Amino acid sequence: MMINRSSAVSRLLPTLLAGVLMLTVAVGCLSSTPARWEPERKIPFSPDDRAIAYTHHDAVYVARTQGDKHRKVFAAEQGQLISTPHWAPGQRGFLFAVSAGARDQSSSNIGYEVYFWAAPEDIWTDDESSAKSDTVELPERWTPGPTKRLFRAEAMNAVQISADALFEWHPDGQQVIYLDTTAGHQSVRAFDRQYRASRIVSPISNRSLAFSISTDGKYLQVASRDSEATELWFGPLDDLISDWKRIEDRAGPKRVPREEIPIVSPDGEPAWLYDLRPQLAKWSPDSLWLAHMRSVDAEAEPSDDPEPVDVMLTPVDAPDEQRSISFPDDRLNDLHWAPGSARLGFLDGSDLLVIETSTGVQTDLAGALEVERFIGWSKPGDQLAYLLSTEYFDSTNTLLPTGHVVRWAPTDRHNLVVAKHDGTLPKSRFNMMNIEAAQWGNQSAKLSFWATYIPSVSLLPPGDPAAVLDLDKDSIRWYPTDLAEYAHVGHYYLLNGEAGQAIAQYSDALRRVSDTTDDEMPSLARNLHLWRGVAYRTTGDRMSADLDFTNVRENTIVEPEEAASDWDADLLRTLATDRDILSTMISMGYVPIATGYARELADTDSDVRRIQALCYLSLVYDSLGQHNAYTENIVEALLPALLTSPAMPTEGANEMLRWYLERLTDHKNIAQLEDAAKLRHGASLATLAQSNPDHRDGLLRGSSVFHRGAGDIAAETNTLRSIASQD
Amino acid sequence: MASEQECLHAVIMSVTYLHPGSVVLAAVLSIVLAGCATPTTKPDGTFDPEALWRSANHRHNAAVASIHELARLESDYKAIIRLTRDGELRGRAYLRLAELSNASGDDKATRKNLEQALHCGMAPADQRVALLELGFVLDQRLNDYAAARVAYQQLINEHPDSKEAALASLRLQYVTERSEAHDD
Repeated sequence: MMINRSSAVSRLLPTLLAGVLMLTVAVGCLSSTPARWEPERKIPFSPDDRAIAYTHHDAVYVARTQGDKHRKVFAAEQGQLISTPHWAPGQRGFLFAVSAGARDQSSSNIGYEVYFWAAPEDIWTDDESSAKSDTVELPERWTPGPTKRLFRAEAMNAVQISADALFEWHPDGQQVIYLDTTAGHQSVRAFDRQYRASRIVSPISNRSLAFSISTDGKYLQVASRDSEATELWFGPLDDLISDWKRIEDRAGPKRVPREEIPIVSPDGEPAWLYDLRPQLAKWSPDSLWLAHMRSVDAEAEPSDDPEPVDVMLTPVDAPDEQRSISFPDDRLNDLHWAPGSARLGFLDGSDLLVIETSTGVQTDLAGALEVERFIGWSKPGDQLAYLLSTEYFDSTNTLLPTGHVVRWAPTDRHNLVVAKHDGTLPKSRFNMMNIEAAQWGNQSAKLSFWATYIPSVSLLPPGDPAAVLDLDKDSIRWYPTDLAEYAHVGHYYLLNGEAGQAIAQYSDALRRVSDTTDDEMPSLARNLHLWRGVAYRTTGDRMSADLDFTNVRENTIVEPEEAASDWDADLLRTLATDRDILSTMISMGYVPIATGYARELADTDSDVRRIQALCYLSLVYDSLGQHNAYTENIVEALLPALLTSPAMPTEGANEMLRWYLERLTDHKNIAQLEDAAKLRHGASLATLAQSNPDHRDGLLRGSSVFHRGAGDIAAETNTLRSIASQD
Repeated sequence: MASEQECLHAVIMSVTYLHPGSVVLAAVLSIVLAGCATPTTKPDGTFDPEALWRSANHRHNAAVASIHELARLESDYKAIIRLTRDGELRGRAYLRLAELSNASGDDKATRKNLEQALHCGMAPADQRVALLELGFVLDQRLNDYAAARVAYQQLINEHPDSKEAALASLRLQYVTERSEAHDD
């Protein structure tokens, strides 16, 4: 037996052991650090739901929800910030804000300008019959019609622009309500498009401010905060304090996003700009009610522990007659009124609740299932939607010959569920991808959202194409803005078992990649061959799969630190390819395909490729709780291969042996085995110990654990004695 | 078959009849034999530690094996749920998990498994079974009468002509009664 002893590998091993080949997303973890302002990612529908507009990668896009028209309307210059577009009520155009992002030297504020863009008619005249597939064409390099600058204002901080916290349309479609900053305070103003004039529409001003306008446009609500609690006010659009009513002096939740601003506070403490929008009351659809959260103990510091809150219902025509409903903790999110204003839905932690406003009766809409987001009711009111997490399983690891640790763990993938308005007849309508910024259309049963594939085993390049789900037509349309996103649409099909569609998408992306000269295309092309090869494999077309996998191998780049080791470069390239193929198969949910492929590798190779394949089998068996197969694979196949491999470096082999023996002999594994299996594996480890003197003690100790687990005191005693006598 | 006391009564009456003068004898016999005729507790296995031990010992290994088999079964159903794209198969796996958690007395897990099953798009027959069982668990085990009513009503609304719906209608009456009694 030859073992390749390499000091270079021993230096490399700690580094490689630290390299985890997986993107782990901690789901639902609480942090004691304050929340930061987040960029807004909504994909708003036009008033008639026939188009969408969105901001992505520093550009504004517009597209039909049917047909193939997809256009870039505005591209930011270097350093510019853009807000989310806002469709004008009843019109075919939208607003968006642009800022250079720099502070004005005299005012210390961030200037921003609001533009209006009238969409061209062909956005609306194009029809579905021209669409060739579920994926719209990449945006045309199109010179848009001129945008019209409406007004300029100043923000306290640049985050307000990307977070889209500065302006809203008035329902009349002629006025724009917005925040302006003067002398360190924000105020609410209205710009009239007809008269091109601006006026103050609220007597409330403060450093941190947020507002919302009632559905009928008659009232404005303002959240105001300096440093302590948040106050809520509402009144008509004027600046007379006598017309306004304060309905809350300690709005909840207590914890809201904040950003430090360069203002010198009198007490010398940092000055914060708070995002008060989570604390704003929600207007009922008929504008007759406001619903908000009241923090019961306003004096206590925000913490991660649940705090009691009250949900306050305020009748607009009689604000002194507020009603309250108590809750034991403040994890209330995603408040939505049902059409008709008789019911208020929200998340209490992960429970989806509905309150009848007239009686206060609460109903749990999703039972014991843990809801991550409540998207609300459709405008017609006959359906509601929410997100569940798709994956609940324990993470498992495997250690590869190259020192990489591969982990298979749950990630933040969602199941988009649509149910009847009362929560009955829930049905999954979109699955297996991370969904962000989901919202209903303005009239129809359409949902827009960002869909991201988050791998559970291997790293993939980022990409999250926009999508519109039409529930009535049971169809989905994708809106990729570049080739990488175009390729990622294929992941949706592969994840959902539609290999043919996936192959078509990946193939089309490959053709487009070959036509470009972008530096990043070779990497994307390699990955496209990987994904398409996996898709071919799932259809049984091994020849096409192998062609793609060969291409992957030829275009795999060995990392410099790996190339400096004593491993053969071709072997490293092959191992990396095998790793990516197996990881992708598992991550895409084709576990039987992955285990079949791993077995083929193990059968056709006799050395390190075989060992790596057996490591992947151990990962799968461990993750699926197949303890017998897991133990059999390690004791009878992996360890013997490891101990007889001529190519395995000594240090690496020692580390793997220690690693796998530790997990084999864990009581949770031993307890799941039949006694006969324990005895057999104990004997196998003892036999291995005899032929591997360098690892005798470790193997015999492992053997003794199996004997003990089987209750064979005599065998355990003999094994331990033989270790002691040798010592 | 006549009880021992009835036979005894017959003997005493016969003696009295045959020997009218032996009323006193009959009376004494009645008293003595009545005491003897009172049913005595036979020595049976339920209260005998040695017998209990023998019985338990006989069943012990099978029980340990069953516990291991239960863990393997749960693993297999969870693996099916993770591996399949077939909603019906996933739903059936959740139903089986619900049976297992029900058997082990974990009512909350039973509820969760049944609700997960209902989200999978199962065949109508499995849907009916799941809704009926869910209503029962909510009502009888978790005392969540409002949710139980919702589950039974959903079954009635969606599968009105089924036998499960007929049963749900009957149960619904008792849920209301239990709910009102609970409030009282």
